[in-house]
Formats: sequence, structure tokens, C-alpha cells
Amino acid sequence: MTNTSAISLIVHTRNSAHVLPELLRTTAWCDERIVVDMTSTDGTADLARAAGCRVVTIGPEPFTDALRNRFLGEAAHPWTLVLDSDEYLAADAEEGLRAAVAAAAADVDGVWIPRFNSIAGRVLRGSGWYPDHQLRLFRTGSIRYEVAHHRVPQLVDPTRRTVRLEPPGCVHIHHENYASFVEFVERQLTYARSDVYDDDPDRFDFTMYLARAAQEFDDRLDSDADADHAYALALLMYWNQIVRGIVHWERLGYLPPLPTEPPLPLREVFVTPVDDAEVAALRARIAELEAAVTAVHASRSMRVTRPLRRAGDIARRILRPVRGT
Amino acid sequence: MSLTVVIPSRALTGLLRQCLSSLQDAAVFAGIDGMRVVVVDNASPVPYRRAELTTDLDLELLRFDTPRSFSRACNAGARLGDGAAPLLFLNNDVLLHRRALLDLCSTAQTYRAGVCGARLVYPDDTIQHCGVLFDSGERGPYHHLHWVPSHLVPRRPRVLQAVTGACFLVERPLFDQLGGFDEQFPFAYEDIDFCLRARQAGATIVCAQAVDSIHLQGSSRDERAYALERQSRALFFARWRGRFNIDGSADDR
Repeated sequence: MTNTSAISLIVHTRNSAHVLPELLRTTAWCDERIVVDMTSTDGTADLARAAGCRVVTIGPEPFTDALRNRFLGEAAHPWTLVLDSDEYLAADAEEGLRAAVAAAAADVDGVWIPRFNSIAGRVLRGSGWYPDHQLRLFRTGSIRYEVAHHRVPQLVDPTRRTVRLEPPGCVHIHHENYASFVEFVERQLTYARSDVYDDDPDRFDFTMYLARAAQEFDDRLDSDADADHAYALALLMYWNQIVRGIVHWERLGYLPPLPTEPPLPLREVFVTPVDDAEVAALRARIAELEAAVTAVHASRSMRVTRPLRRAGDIARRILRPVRGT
Repeated sequence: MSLTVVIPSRALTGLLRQCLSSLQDAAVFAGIDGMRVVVVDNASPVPYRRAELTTDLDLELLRFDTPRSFSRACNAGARLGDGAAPLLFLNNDVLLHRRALLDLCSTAQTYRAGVCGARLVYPDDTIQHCGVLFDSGERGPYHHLHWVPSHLVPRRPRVLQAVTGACFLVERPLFDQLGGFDEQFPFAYEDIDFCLRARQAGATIVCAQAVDSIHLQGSSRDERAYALERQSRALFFARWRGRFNIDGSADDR
């Protein structure tokens, strides 16, 4: 390969004909385009072929990020760009990405690209949704994906470096996540059902999912940036963690008992205390949680400590304004 | 008749929406049926969504993640237009009068003009643009009767050396022949440069005057824009000094 800056694009598709044209239109400049199609029945493969892409057809199987590893080797060029079928690029992306490749030092294997996420008609700006850097441009063969959905891909050689493109004024990935909240719920369910869960019942801890749920809610609730969409998404992300916890529990055959009382009652997360009695009650609850954490620390069982410590931290963050009064 | 409208724009979504709405009204009044609108999203911090801008227009969004000059944005937008239709370049801070497009098209036709500008006013009905004149010395191109109350300014179309690019109808073959706006201009003066080159190619430049459209001029400018404008001005003088007709400054009040 003589051109050391040529870029191969890899896209995974499955019945993506409704979104693919935008991607195909905005990536025509790529030096090679590979569409890995999982037996679509809506003409996705024909669309891709008509646009000059090389189409690799694979049989139906549950899609996980690990599947991506099998096809990273298809790329013929020194750099690989990975996009999802519901993503596309701006008109000046070629300029921006080729500049990023040209600027990459010899020890840089990957480039994180910021991403605009659009959900139910709104481009989100709130915490967690933007800039949402994605490791999508990398030297061919330098990246491995984890065996689960939406985990951060890893460098094969950990001594190498990655760089981030920082907005504003740099190339972005444009992602049409979900046209509606119903679609959002459906997709999260699909992911929750098809994801890979730890199959050791001893390591299952439902409080971990509750802690994650509270964390998600706390992180995503940025109504200054996204108004009502922020509330809707924070609640749905909370719900998503609960669903995952229960799906995980069901996979284990309902074996570990679920806690009768969650460590962080929903009410404390959602209700802003108003009167003195409520403040006092919440203070008592914090003290109780802190005592529990201290007690568990003393027991030195990391398996229990981690989720509890997490829950305690979150409780303290949420209730910080209350404690100040 | 058909028309391609190119609107370069950064953020100011509310203003752009009003701009598109006035454009739609003007197009209906002018009886334009095949109108294609290209909004060049010039690195808005939040990308435009079609649904938030218009529900009716045949609108194409051309998104740039990194900011580019007005001339580059305009040329890129024009490339998306359909081959033969005249081009209308419109700023996002221009609110067209309902009869403005009809006036532009009929004036251009009457004068067999290559470029037709529009009469634009500030919200207080004083003139923002009714043609560009050229003075001697360092002043160079300036806006004719700037800030003069519009009701004191004649309504007869005027043939000039240049008109502003804020609202600017140009014949497609002429635009292609000249290779579009000169992309060396970082900000401003690319429209004056284009008009002078159009005249060299034998085209007539005219400004329609029958109705006043509002131009909230400068609403999208920042400090950087003023710095770029100085660069553009220097480039303009380096290229054109001594090569335009001196209209003088008699009508400058």
C-alpha cells in the first residue's frame, strides 16, 4: 500500500435502507467502502452496491460489537473509519478527517471524533450526549471491540496513543439515534435482551444496577441544555438500567434474591424536599447510608462495598443542596 | 419559472425561520413553482434540523462542521442547485417583502440583467441598500443613500456597477462562467468583486426598487468578522483600485 493516509470505511447494516442513503451520499470520498450486511430483506445490499461499496453478506446472528472484530480485517487501507448505518458526515468531513490522519503522529493509533446525537427531533447538547467522542478513525488493525454493546473499543497495543478532535469547529459524526421516544424504548429493550451478561450468580448485585440507574439519571438530567427532552431521557436511562438488572437476574434463573428495599428509594431521587420534616428525614437517611457504607468497609468485602459506596456517593451528590440548608 | 435560492447561515435559527417564511410568501406571490432552497449550515454550534426551519419548502441542508467563508459557502450551495435555474443568494437576516421576488425577476427580465439586486431597508425604513456606488480615494465602494428615509428615494430601477450580495439574483450561465464568487475573499467584498467581473463579461447590473425588504444588517457579525472584513477590503483594493468608474460622492448625505 503506497498511500499511507488512505481511508477504508466499514459499516454494519441490517435492514438499513431507510437511513443508509444519507451515509452513502456523504462518504463517497472514502478510498474504499465496505458494507457488512446481515441478510437484509429491504434492499440494503443493493443500495450499497449501487453506490459502489463492496458488500460482505453474513448470516443472521445476534449483533454485538464483538462481531465487528471479524470484519476489521476486510479494510485494505492503512486507516479505518467505522460508522453505524444511522450516522452520516458533513460536506466538509473529507477535509477534516484527512487532516486528522495527516496530523496523526507516528505513535497515534486512533482519533476520537465528537458526535451530534439527535433524538426525537432534537440535537442534544446536554451532559452525556455531547460531545460524545467516539473512537472511529484508527490505524487498521489497531483496535479491538469488547464482547458487549456500546463499550469503549480498546487499543491492541496499549502503549500507543489516541487523540481527540475538540469542538467547536472540527469534523463531527452526525447520528440520527431515534426518531421518537417509542423507538428509543424499543431499541434499548433490544439491546438489553441481546446483550451479554456476567453468568456468575455470585457476582450479580442488583444494587449495582440501581446505583447505575441513579447515576444515569443524575448525569443525564441537564434540562438547561435539552429542556423537556432531558427529563424524558434521564427517566428512560434510569428505567433502562433497571430493566437490564432484571433481565440479568432472569438470565441467572432468578437465583440471587433481589433486595427487598432498594438502597436508594426512587422517591429520594425524584422529589425535591421542601419542608423541615422532609429535610430531617433525608438527613437521617443519609446518615443511615453512610453508616451502612462504613459498616461494609469494615467488613472488607469488595463485592458488596463497591455498589454500596457508589450508592452512598450518589445519595450525597443528589442531597448536597439539602445538607447545606 | 424555477429558482434556486442559496442561504448561507450560522445559528440564528429563529431569524432564519422568518427569512424562509418570507421567502415562501414572496415565491407564492411571484408564481415561482419550482423553487429549490439550499440552506448552507455554516458550522452552526447545533446543526439545523429541517423540521425546525420549514414544513413546506423544498429545502436542502448542506452542513459544514468547520466554518468557511461566505464565498465558499455560497459556491458550495450553488453547486447543489439545478442546472439552468437562476440563483438567488439571500442572507439569513433578510426578510423579503411579499412582492420582492416578483419585482426582482421582472426587473431582471426588463433590463436583461445578469445580476439584479434588491432594495433593502433597516427596520426604521431607512435605506440599507439601493445600489453600490464608487467613490475615489480610500473610500471606494459605498452604499448609495445609506440611512436616507426610504420614502425620499425614487422607485425607478437603477443600473449600477455593483449591488449587495445580501439579496442577489444572478443568471446561472453568468455565475458558472465567472466561476462563482471568488473564494479568496474571507468576508465581504466578494459580491462587489463578482459584480465588477460580471460587467467585464458584458453583463448588466441593476437594482430593483419597487418594494422594501428588511435587512437586519450585521446581526450575525462578531469581532472576527470585522477583522476578516478588513482583509477582504485590502484584497479588493489591491485587485480593483483604478479599475472601476468613479461615481463620486455627491449623493452621499
